[in-house]
Amino acid sequence: MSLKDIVDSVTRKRLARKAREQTAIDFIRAKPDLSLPFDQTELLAVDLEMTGLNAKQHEIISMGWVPIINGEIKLAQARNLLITPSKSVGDSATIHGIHDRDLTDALTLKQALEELLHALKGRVMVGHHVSLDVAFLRQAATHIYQHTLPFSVIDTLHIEAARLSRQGEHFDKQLLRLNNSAERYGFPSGDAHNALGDALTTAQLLLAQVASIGPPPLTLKQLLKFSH
Amino acid sequence: MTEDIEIKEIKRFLQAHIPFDSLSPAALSKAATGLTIKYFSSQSKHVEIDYTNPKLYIVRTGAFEIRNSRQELVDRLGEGDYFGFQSLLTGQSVDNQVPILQDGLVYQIEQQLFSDLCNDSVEFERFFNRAHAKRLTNAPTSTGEQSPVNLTIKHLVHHNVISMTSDNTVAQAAVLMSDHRISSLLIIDNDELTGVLTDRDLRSRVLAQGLDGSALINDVMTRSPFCIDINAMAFEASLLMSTHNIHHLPVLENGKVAGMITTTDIIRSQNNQPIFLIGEINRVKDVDGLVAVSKKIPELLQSMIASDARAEEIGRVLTLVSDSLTRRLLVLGEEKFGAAPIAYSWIVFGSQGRMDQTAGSDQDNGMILARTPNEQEASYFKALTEYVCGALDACGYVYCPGEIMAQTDKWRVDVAAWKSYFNQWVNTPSPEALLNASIFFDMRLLAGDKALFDELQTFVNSATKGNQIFIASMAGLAVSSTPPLGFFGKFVLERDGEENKVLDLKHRGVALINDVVRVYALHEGLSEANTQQRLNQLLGRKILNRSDVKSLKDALEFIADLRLKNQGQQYQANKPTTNYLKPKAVSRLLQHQLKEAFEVVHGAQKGLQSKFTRGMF
Repeated sequence: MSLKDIVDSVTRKRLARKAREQTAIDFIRAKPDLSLPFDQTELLAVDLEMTGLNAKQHEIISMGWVPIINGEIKLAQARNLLITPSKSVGDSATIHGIHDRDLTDALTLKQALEELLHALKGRVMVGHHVSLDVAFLRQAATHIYQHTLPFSVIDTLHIEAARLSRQGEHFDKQLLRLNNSAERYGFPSGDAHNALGDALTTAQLLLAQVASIGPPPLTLKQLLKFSH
Repeated sequence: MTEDIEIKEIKRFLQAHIPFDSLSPAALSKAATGLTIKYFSSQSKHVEIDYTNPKLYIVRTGAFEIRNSRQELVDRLGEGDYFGFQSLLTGQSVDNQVPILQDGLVYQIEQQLFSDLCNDSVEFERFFNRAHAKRLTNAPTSTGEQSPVNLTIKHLVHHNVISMTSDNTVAQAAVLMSDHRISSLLIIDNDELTGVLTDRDLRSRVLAQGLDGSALINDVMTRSPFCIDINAMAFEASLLMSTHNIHHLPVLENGKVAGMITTTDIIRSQNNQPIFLIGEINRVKDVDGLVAVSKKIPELLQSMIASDARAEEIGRVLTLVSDSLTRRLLVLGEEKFGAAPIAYSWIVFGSQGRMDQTAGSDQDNGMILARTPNEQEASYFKALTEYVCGALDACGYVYCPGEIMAQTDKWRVDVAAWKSYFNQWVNTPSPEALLNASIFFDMRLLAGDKALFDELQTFVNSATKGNQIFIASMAGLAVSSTPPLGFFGKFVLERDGEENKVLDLKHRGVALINDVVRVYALHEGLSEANTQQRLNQLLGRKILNRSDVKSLKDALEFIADLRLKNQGQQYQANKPTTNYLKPKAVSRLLQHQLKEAFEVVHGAQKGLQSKFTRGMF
C-alpha cells in the first residue's frame, strides 16, 4: 500500500466518523477498488455547469453524468440535473444557455448532490479539468454537510497533456480543451456546454485515451497516476 | 425532465440514418437513451463479438471491415453502417471477423432494445431482415402493379382451365361451355395444347357448314392457336388480338397451359394508351402524321412513370412504339418507292435491340440484303433507307452520331459482308471493334426477311460462343468503367453541365450491367438481346449462380427505375432529361439501396474479371 492509499483510507475513516447524513456516509465508505483493470470496473464521467469559475463565489446550476461500466458507456444510466441557485445565473447564461427562468422548478443543491453521490458511490469520477468540478463539489459538501468528501478522480485533461507532451512537441494549452481534444479523436461535436453532453464527450475521450495507451488495459491506479 | 437525459446529438444521428428514421418518436428516444457506446482501437486488430450476447453495432466514427471465414472482404463499414445484426436475427454465431481499420466509436443496441424497435416499426425490422438476406430488393419501386399500363397477363388470366380432349363431339363441348358460361374451350391432348374451340367456331365451322352435334372437336377447332406468355403485358395480348382479329388467347406458363384470357378481360382492365398510339401510327399516311403522333411519346412515357410501371416494361413499351413507327415507315417507303426488288431485313441494335429505350434514344439500325445489289437495286435501298432514317430523325429518334444506320452504305450490305464485319470484330478485337461489339451484339430483327437475320445470328453465336480471347477482351471492356462507389461506400460524384455533383445512372449504372450480361450471353451463345431476358436465360446455367443472376436483375431494375423516375421529375420541372441524379435529392433509403445496387454491379464486374480475363486486364 502506497502512502497515498494510506492517507486516503485514513481520510475516509475520519470523514465517515464525522458524517451525519446517510448518503454521505455510504459514499465515503464505498471506496473504489483501484487495482481492477479499466474494462472490469465502474466509473462515472461527470460534468458541472457553474455560474462562474470561483467555487467560493459561484454556484453549480447543472450536473450531468454517464457511467462507464466494463469499458462501455451506458446511456441508459445517464442523468442531467438542473439546480436552483441562490442568486441569479447572471452573465454565465451566455455560456451554458441556462437562464433563471429554466431553474424555477429545478432541484435544490442538496437534492442534486445526493443523487450524484448515489451514482458516484464506489465509482471513480472522471472529468475534464476535474479539479474545478471537485472544488465546487467539496464546497457544496461543506455547505450542506459541514465537512468535505473524498473523491477518487481521473482527469482526461491531464491524460491528454501527458500524451501530447510524450509526442515531444510543445503545444498550445488550447489544444487541451474538451472539444479540441474530442476533435482530435474524430468524435462528433456533441452538445457542448451542456453538462450531460460534456460528460459524454469526456467519457468517450477516456475510452479513446485508454485504447491509445493500451493494450493491455490499464488498472485504475495506473490511470489515476496519469491524471496527476 | 426526460428530455434532459437525451443526448440530442445522438438522437439526430440515429434519426438521419435508415432505418432509424422509420421509428416513432418514442421508440427513437428509447434507442437514443438505451444504447451503449464502445471505442475500438486498431491496436486490438478486430472487434471481439460476444455471441452469447448479440448486439446491433452502429459505426459512429472510424472504419471497419467484415471478412468471412476465408478472410475474404465482405463489406467495408464507415459512419452509419451496421454490423452484428446477423447473429441478432438468427441467434447464431457468424464466422465473420470485423477488423478495425481506423479507431472509432461504435454504438451498441442490445437484444431486448432491438426487439422493441422491431416491434415499433415494420420498416425497421424489414430493413435488417433484408440486409440479412443480402439480396437486394426493389420492393418500394414496384408498388404500381395494378396500374393499367404495366398490367401483365398474370393479373388477368382465369386460372380455372376448362378443357376437353379433341376426340369429344362438339355437342359435348357446347354443353360444357354453356355449363361454365364460357365462350371458348381449351383443347388439350396428352398434356399439350392442340387447339381452341370458340363460339365462333361452333357457328362458322359447324352450323354454317351443315354439320351437327356429332362432329368431332378435332375437325372443327382452331389448331395451333396464338398463345401468350403469362408474364407478357396485357397490352401485348391486346395487340396480338387486334392484329389477328381473335378474341381468345390461351395463356402459357413455362410452355404449359395456365389459362385463357379474352378481349373482354383486357378491355375491362386496361387503359389502352400504348395501343391507341400504335393504332394511330398504323393509320397515319405520311411522315408528317408520324411526326405528329411521335410528339405523344413523351406523354406516354410520363404516364407510365407516374403509374409506377416497371422500368423493364417502360423500356419495352417505348421500344414497341418505335418498332411500330419504323415498320410503318418501311410500309410507307415501299408505297413511295415501290416494292423491294430483293429480300432484306431491317435490324436494330443498341437500346432498341435490347428493348430498353428511354426518352431521347438515338437510332441504331442496319439492313441485311439478300445478295449484293446491282446498281438499280442499290439506289432503291439507298432511297428507302434515307427516307426511313430521315423520318425517324424527324420523329425524335435522332441520327446516330456514330452513323450506325441503314442509310450508311457500310451498314446496308449482304449477309456475307455482315458476317465479315462480325468476324473481324470477334477475331481481331481492337478497341474500336470492341466498342462496336457492344452496340452490334445487341441485335434484333425488326422487319423483313427472317431467314437473312437468322443466318447472321447463327453465325455470330457460333463465332462468339467459347471464343476465349474475344470473350476476355469483351470482359476487359465491361470492367473498364466502374460503378460510382468509393472507399467506405461513399458515392463518387461527377459534375454535370451546371457544376452540380451528380451520379451518372446510365454510364456508370445501367450500361455497366448491360455490358457484363452481354459478355455472359455471348459466352453462352444466347440469341436474346434484352438484358433482363438474357439474365432469365442465364438462370440455371453453370456460368453464373442463381443468386447473382437475381441480384443483377434487381439491381438493373432498381437503377433503371431510379433513372426513369429522375427523368420524370426533370420533365415535370421543364428541365432537359438527363441520366444525372443528385444523390441528395433522393431519400436515404433510396441512397442506401442505390449503394447496394452499385455494389452488386461491382461484384458482378469482379466475377466477370476472374472468370474470363485471367489477369489480362
